[in-house]
Amino acid sequence: MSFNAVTSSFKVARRRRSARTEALRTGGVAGAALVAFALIGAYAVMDKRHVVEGMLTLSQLAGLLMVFAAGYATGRDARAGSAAALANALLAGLIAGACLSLLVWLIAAVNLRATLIAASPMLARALSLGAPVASAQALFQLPLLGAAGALAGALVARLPGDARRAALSGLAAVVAAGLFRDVFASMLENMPDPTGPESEVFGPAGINSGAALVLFFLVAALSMVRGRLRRPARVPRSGMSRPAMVLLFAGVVLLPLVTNDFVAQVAMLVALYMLMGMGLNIELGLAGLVDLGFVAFFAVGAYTVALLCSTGPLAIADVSFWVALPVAVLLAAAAGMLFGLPVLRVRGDYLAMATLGLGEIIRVLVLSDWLAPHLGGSQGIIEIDHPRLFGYELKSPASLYYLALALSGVVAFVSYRLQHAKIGRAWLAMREDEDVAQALGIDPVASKLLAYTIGAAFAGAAGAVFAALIGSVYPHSFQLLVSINVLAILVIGGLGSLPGVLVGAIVLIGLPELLREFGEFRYLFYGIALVAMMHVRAEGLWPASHVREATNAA
Amino acid sequence: MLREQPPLLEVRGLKKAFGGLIAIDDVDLTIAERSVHAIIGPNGAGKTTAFNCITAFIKPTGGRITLAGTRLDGLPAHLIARHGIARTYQNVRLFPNMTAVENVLVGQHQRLHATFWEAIAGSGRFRREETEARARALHYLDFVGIPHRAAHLARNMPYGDQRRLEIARALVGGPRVLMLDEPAAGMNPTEGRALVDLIARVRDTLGVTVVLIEHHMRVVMAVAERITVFDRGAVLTEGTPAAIQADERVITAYLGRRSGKIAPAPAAPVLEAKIA
Amino acid sequence: MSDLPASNLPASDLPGSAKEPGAVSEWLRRSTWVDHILLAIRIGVAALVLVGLAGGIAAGTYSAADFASFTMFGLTIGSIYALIALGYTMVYGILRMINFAHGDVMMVGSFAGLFAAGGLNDTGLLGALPLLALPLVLAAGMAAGALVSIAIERIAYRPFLHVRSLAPLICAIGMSFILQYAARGLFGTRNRAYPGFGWMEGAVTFAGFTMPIPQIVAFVAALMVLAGLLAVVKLSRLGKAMRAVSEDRDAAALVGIDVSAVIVATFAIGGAMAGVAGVLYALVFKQITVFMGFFLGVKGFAAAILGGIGNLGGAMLGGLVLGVAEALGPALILEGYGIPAPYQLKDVIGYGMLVMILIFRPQGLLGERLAAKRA
Repeated sequence: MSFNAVTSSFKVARRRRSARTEALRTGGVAGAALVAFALIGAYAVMDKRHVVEGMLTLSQLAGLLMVFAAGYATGRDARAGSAAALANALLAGLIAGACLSLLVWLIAAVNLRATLIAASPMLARALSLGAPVASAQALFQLPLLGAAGALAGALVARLPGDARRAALSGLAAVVAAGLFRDVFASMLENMPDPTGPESEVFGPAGINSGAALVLFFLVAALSMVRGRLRRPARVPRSGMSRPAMVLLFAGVVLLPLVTNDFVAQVAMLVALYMLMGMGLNIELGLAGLVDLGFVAFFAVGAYTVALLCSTGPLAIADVSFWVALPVAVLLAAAAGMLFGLPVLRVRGDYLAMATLGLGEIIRVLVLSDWLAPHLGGSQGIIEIDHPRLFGYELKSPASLYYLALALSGVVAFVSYRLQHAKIGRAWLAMREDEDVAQALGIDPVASKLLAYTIGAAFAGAAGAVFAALIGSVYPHSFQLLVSINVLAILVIGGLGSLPGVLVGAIVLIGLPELLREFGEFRYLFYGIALVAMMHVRAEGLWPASHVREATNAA
Repeated sequence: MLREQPPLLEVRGLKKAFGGLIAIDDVDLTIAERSVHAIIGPNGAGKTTAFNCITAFIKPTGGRITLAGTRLDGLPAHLIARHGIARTYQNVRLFPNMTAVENVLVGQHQRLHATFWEAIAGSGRFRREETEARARALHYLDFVGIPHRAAHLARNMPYGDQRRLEIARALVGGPRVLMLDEPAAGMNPTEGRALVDLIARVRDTLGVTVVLIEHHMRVVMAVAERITVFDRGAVLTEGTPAAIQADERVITAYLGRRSGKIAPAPAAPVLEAKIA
Repeated sequence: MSDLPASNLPASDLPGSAKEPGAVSEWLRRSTWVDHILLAIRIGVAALVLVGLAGGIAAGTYSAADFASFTMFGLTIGSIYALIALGYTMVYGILRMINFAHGDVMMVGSFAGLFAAGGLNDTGLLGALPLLALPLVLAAGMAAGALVSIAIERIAYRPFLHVRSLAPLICAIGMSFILQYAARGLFGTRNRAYPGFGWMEGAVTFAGFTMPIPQIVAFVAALMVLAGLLAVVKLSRLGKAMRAVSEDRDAAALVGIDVSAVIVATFAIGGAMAGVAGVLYALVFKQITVFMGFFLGVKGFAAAILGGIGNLGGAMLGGLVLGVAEALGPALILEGYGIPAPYQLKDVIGYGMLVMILIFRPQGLLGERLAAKRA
């Protein structure tokens, strides 16, 4: 599958609208987004979590950010003068808020719950922000708030470069501190000074309002200073600088030490998905094979370890994890080869469907009564031993995190080496133009098969760690969703980019786990992230080097 | 003199039908070793189709293809490449998001022997091979005259350089036959002369047999030792440049059948007119 | 100037002088290791099916009446697969891309039908005019399906039309998740029950076989909708424009066809078909969930491939064949191996067929040539 090969000169022309129409449209879109946010139930759920203690809940924050973004977008419109742009933003915010008011009124007036389960009195109450439900005050304050939020957005958009950047970074810092209170609070708790500032900065759920203000100005000031120091340096369009990279990796290694068990558990999951992500990266990122049956190999690895290391009734052996791990990897690789052989002559979208079918076949088989005597059916396999290392049982989240991290390191090294060898170049060439690659003597099936087998082996390793981590395996853990998760990680991070896998895993696995309120809406967020990414930044958050060069040159 | 060379590439009775449409029918070609052999003919005569069939880019309906006595027809494209047939494409097909060096490195696929495990372990042989491969890539970029493009992305290079890069990529695998599909298309006369020189060097320095499809008669006449003329999916005639230039049927093929109103002109001027 | 005399050729290469090798040795010369393995898989699968079939018939667990009702059920679900398959096939025909979110369009249509039926039930229309109610519910499903499908085209396909990349596929996967989980948030996770249509309760007995009425209704409705669609594509101006765009998008634009509009119309029609499928599915199975669309979508895709993607009649044939194979397969083949609860593995047969077709006959039963080149 070639990237960016023009297949048709036919293009759809974009209609040009006036600044006013555009503002009305933006307001309408923001309003629709707000209403959708409320109606899918996210508003009511997230309203229980305070981001700024006693002041702002998560859902209010999300709503404000939506109108802020709408205002920002309207304010950026260069065609309008400053005053006109602000007026337009005001209008957009009013419209967005009015949409929400209309919803509140509808909920109060009509019983919608038979159809839309989230349209409950509770939602109307939450959206009335303390005023009597659906009262005139409740209905009028929403458009006003919307207008204020949008105006703020437009004002920030109209600021000169440095100040704008400072305001945005300050805002981002406060939001991040409030959202990921657990991580930062536990870090402060672990500070050597027992009378640390933790209680003053953070409340039980979010950041305190005073601390939020201080943080905003601190970060904004820092950003200003940084802007002054590096005046000519334009923010590069892609990737991060080397110091940022070092900082990120240091953070990754030290994380469980400076935080609590919960964060370590999340980090462990991130590392696990990184392992899988690097497996799929070989298949999809390098060789361009869209594999939606990836979870099958994860399952092979997990079930192998389960059968070999369990003390339960279904175990066929009781060996050490360190014996089972290579067996799991080899079996997963063998499964990859077995599946890959026939499937890999199929191209593109067809391959996605074929692999999806294969993955589902495996899941249905594992669940069936037929194989239940061997694999436990829906009951799964339990009582899997934890791995031991030098007599020390790897049981705590932190120790398992390091196990997963170490394996990720090995896998990253292997990936890196392969990427820069003959086979890696062959994969890239095939992704660019399969026919030409074949005419240069590259056997397409053999190289794809190798990619598929290696990817499967890495997934098997992840499965093995997963089984040891959870201590039990169930078919339920091996749904198509896992394959989609991994695919999303790669897309968000940047196809073919190893650091991208890390970034993608943090954004898609780590952040939603840390934001527990998010849980239910996680896959919705994934869907939106996939679509948005393809539209806004198709090369990913941390693109592979050759993509980066290409976009910079373009 | 050329006849004494043993034939390297032989095509017999090659046929390709797209559904009911017969693109080429019963095409025979005999390419002598270390020669430059041009294929000319009006548009739609089946020249590129013949190329595609020989390199298994598309599957021929019938016929047999032999390279130095080895049957090639029916083999998949990568095996044909490994037997020593390399090609370029009418509308340049590089790997656009890879640099020039990387493109040429991919072309060396069949020359590198370090295994997958050696690559992971970073063995001595692997490193030596990689160093050699890089040096060879630079050498071939130099050979085709674009050493300064090494680090450029293929898609950002000017058209003429892209064509040269494509030739370097095809040559670096060490083929016995190089098949060029309209290498001079879009080139100005200076570039055309450089191309003639390059093709001659490919034959003389590297000892590679060259088969080319070309419309620029100046290039063809300057470099080809034998010319095969295609018309309507079949071989019209074959011969030396001088003989082809003198052949009336070739002119008719180019200008259309009913040339009764045009006074029978000497062959050469007409072909010259075609060049301009 | 017959300058190419035969005497110029080595004698051994003159036509007829070389010995023609046998078919087997010619195949061996031309084939690679991949072909050998594929042949082995072919033989293995065929043997597995034949042995299972023989065992299943010998076991005689089910009566002829059982098989008749299995077949009827297979045809019903098959006609629903066929309706879904139409959307895949039409979009593929025009864009050469697979609409990954198409299964979820069907789910949305199903829910729209549910709410329409609920509304009709509340106003008492369902009881008063039972025969008019069904078309109304179907229309609601079609409208919702068409709208969602148009939205998918707008978001996931139109921006990426001029380049060939993974973007549409990934966007469509994203859209599929947005639809599923937005629906989950809006409508909840519990199963929703369709209201009964009164006259559709019960079964008819014909020539000794008993057939539930909803199955017959679904089957007949599917056939009628398909006939209507075929008429549109074969006879109308829009159909002609669709075929032109499918042949060559640029050329179609040159002769003045509004390519954008044709693409939108294609998505809309495919979505409407999926909406019908959603409503008919709900009539037969009575219960719907927000997650039912995705895997039914995969089955619909399998049906489209089976029939030959890009071929409308093929989609219908593929759907029916797949439905019947799924309905009969467990009883006929898996039973032969003495597998307990063979109907748990019904999906293995469906997905297995999908994989096998993709590998061995990507052009399908009635396929067009292009599919073979692409797959």
